[in-house]
Amino acid sequence: MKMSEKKEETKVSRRSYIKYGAAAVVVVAAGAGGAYYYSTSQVPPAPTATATSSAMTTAAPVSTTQAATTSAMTELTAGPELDFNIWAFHPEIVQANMAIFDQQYNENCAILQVPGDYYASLLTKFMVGPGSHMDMMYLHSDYMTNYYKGGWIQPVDDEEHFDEIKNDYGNKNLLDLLTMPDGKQTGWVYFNGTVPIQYNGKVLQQAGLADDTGHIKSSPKTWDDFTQMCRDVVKSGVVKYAYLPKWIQCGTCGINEIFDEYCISEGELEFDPKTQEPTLENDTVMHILENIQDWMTTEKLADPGVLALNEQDHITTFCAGKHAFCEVHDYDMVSFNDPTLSPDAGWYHWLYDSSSTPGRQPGSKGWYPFMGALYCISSHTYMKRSANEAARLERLHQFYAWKDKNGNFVAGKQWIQSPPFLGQPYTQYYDDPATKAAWLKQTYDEGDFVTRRNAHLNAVIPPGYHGMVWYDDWHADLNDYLPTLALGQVTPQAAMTHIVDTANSLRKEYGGPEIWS
Amino acid sequence: MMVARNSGSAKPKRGLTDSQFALFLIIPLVVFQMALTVYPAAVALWMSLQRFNPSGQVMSFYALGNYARAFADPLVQASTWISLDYTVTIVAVTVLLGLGVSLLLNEEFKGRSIIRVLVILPWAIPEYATALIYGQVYSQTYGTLNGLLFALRLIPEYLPIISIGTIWVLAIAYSWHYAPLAIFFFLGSLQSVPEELYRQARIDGASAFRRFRTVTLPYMRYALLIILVLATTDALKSLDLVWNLTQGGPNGTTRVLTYYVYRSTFVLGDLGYGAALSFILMILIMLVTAVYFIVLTRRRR
Repeated sequence: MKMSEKKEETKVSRRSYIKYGAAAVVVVAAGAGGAYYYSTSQVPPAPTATATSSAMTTAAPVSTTQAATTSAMTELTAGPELDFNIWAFHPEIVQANMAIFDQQYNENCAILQVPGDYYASLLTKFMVGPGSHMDMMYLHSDYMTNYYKGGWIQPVDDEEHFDEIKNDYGNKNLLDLLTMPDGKQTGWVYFNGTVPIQYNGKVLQQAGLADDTGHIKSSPKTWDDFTQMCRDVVKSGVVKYAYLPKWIQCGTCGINEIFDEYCISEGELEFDPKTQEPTLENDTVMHILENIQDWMTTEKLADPGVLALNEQDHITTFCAGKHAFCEVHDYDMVSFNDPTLSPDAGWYHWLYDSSSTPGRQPGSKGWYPFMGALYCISSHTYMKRSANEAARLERLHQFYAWKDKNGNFVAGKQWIQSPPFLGQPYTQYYDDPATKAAWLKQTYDEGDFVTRRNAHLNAVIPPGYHGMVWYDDWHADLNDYLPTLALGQVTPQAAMTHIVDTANSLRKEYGGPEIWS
Repeated sequence: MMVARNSGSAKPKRGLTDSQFALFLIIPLVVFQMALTVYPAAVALWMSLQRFNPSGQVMSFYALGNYARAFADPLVQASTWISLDYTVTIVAVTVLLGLGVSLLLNEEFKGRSIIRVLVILPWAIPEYATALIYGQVYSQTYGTLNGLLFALRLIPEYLPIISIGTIWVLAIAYSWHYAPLAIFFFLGSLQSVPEELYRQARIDGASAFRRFRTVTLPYMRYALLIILVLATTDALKSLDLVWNLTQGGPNGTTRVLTYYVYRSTFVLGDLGYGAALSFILMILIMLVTAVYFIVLTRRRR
C-alpha cells in the first residue's frame, strides 16, 4: 500500500505531461521559426560609399550577371559568407588558395567538400532544395549542358574581365567547348586535360618496338598501325595482352569516353553540331566498332579483365607492367612513373615519336577529346544575391579561374606544379620554369613535357557534343551496350544500328537545337 | 490501469481516455514521419507521374507513363532479376553464417567475450568502407585473395575475381558486413533457450541436429524472421557496394535495381523515371516482406 502511494506521488500527471510537452513543442517551434526567419531575412548589407559601382547603390537583390556589369569593385563591403563546393581532390590546395583570397580581399569564405562518388546527387539536392545555398562549385564538363539548360548555373558572359580572360586562354578551342548553342559561356576551366594513349617503354623495348631509352621507335599514325603493334607485342610473348583499354566501369569515363576518343581522333564528331543529328553511319565509325570487337574477342589483344575494373584499379593494373598500351587521363602518368606504385616507373610515356615529338593520337586527325571540369556560379530562382554579394562572388570566381588581386596567376599554380599536375588553360603556367622542373622531377622526360603541353595548349579539341541535353543518356547507353560488342555478343552492324537508333530516339524525345531558340 | 474512470455519483473527470492519451503520445512521431517519410514519398510519387527532361525540368504530366516505360524496359527487368539474385545470396549467406557463428559463440570457451565483440565489428563498418576493403581483397593486381590463392599455388596467375564471380562476390562482401547483425540477434535468442531442455533432449537420446531442430530453432524463429526481413530489405536497397566496387559492371552483370534508380535520377537527371523505379522497388520489398510474414507466422497460428 505504501509502495503504491509512493508510486502515485512520484508519477507525473498527464496534465503536467501535456502541459510541459506542449510548452516544449511551442519553444522548439518558436526557436525553429526564429532560426528560419533569421536565415531567410539575412538581406545582404546595403552597399556603402566605399563601393565604386553605381549598380551598388541599390540593395535590391540582383543576379551575379546583373551585378557583374559593374566596374571594378575593389572595395566591397563584407556580407554573407560565400561558399565553394568542391569534390574531395586535394582539398589542401583549395584551402591554401582560399587563404590567399581571404587575406587579399578580407573575406572569410567556406569550402564545402562533397564526397566525390556522390557529387552529382548531393549537388542536385543542393540545387533543387529550396533554402539550400551554394555559390561557386566544381562542375564536370559532362554535366555542363544540362545544368546550364536547367538554369542551375549562370553564364559568365557579363562578368567583368570576361574578354580579358578569354584572351589569356592558351587554347581557344576550350572557349568553344564552354559555349552553349545560345552563345553563352557556362563557366571557366578548373582543369583541362585529355585521355591519350600511354605506353610502357620497357614492354615495347622487350618486344623490339622501342629504342634503348624505352621510347617507341615509330609512333602509330593510324588505329590500324596501332593494332599491328599490339599484334607484334602479343606475338613477342612479352605480355599476354598488349592493350589495357579504358573500357572500365565508370558512368562517364568508361568505354563510352574511349569510343568518343576513337571517333574524335578520326575527326568524326559523332553528331552534326548544327542539327544535332547523329553522323555515325559511315565507314570510319564502323571500323572503330569492328576494332573494339577485334581487339578484345577476335584477336585477343585487349585484356577482357578491364571490363570489371574501376578507375583506380585500372591505373594500378597498368602500373603492374603487364601491358604495353593503355589510355588514361593524362594526369595519371604520375602514378605510372611513381616507383612506389610501379616496378616500371620511368618507362611510361605518352604516345609520341621520339624523333619528332608530334604528340598526337593515332587516327587520321589525331585530335583529342576534352576532359576536365569547370568553376561555375550556381543559379536558382530562390538564389538571389545583392549586387555587393554578386560582385564578391565574381571576384572569388575569377581568383580561382584567372588571376589574384595583384594580377598574378596564382590559383592554378599549385594544381599544375603538384602531382598529378592538372592542366591549366593559361600559357603562363607552362612557361614558368618551376612547372617544367616539377614535371621532370616526376620522371616525365622532355618529350612527355612538350607533348602534354601541346595537348593542353595547342591540340584540336572539338566542341563535339555540347548543346545536346540528351547526350549523357546516349553516352550512358553506350556504356551499357558497347561491352556486349567488345565481348562478341552483338555484331558491329547491330551495334551501329543500336547507337544510331538510340540517338535518334532521344533527339526525338528531348529535342534538337530548336530547344535553344 | 491508471485511467481516471467515471464511477458512481462522483463528478465525471475531464481528461483523456487511454486511447486518446496514447494517440497524443504518438503525435510527435507522426509529425516526424509525415515530415521525413510521407511528404518526401508524396513528392516522389508526384515526380513519378511527371515527364522530366535531362536538365531536371518538368516537361509534361505523364500519368503512369514512367511506370509503363519501366515495365517495358529490358534493363529494368534484367536489373530486377539481378537484385533478386543478389538478395537471395546475401540472405542465404548471412543466415547460414549468422547461425553457425552464433552457435559457436554460444559455447563456453576462453576469450569468448572478446571474440563476440570482434565479430560484431564488421557491422559497424559502413557499406561504403566495406566496398573499399573488398576492392583491395578482390583486386586483380594486388588483391589479398589473389595473393593468398597464388601463394597456396591454387591459381597460376592473378585472376579477375569480380569478372568471374560477378554478383556473388559482391553478395559475399555484403554478407561479411551484415552477418554480425544476424549473429547478434541469434545469440540473444540462443541465450533464452533453457538449458534444461537440452539436458532432457540429451537424456532422450536426441542427436545434435535434432536438438537444434526441436529445441533451438523454435526459440530462434522470431530472430530469424527479423533477420530475414532486415537482410532482405537492406540487400534490396543496397547501393554503396555496387556503386563503389563495380558500377554495375562487368557488362551489366551487377547492375542491381538501386544502381539503375541512382543512375536514372542523379546521373541522367531523369527524376520522374527514377522516382517510378523507386516505387517499383518499394513494392518489390513490401511483397517479399509480406511473404516472409505469411510463411513464418503461419505455423504459429
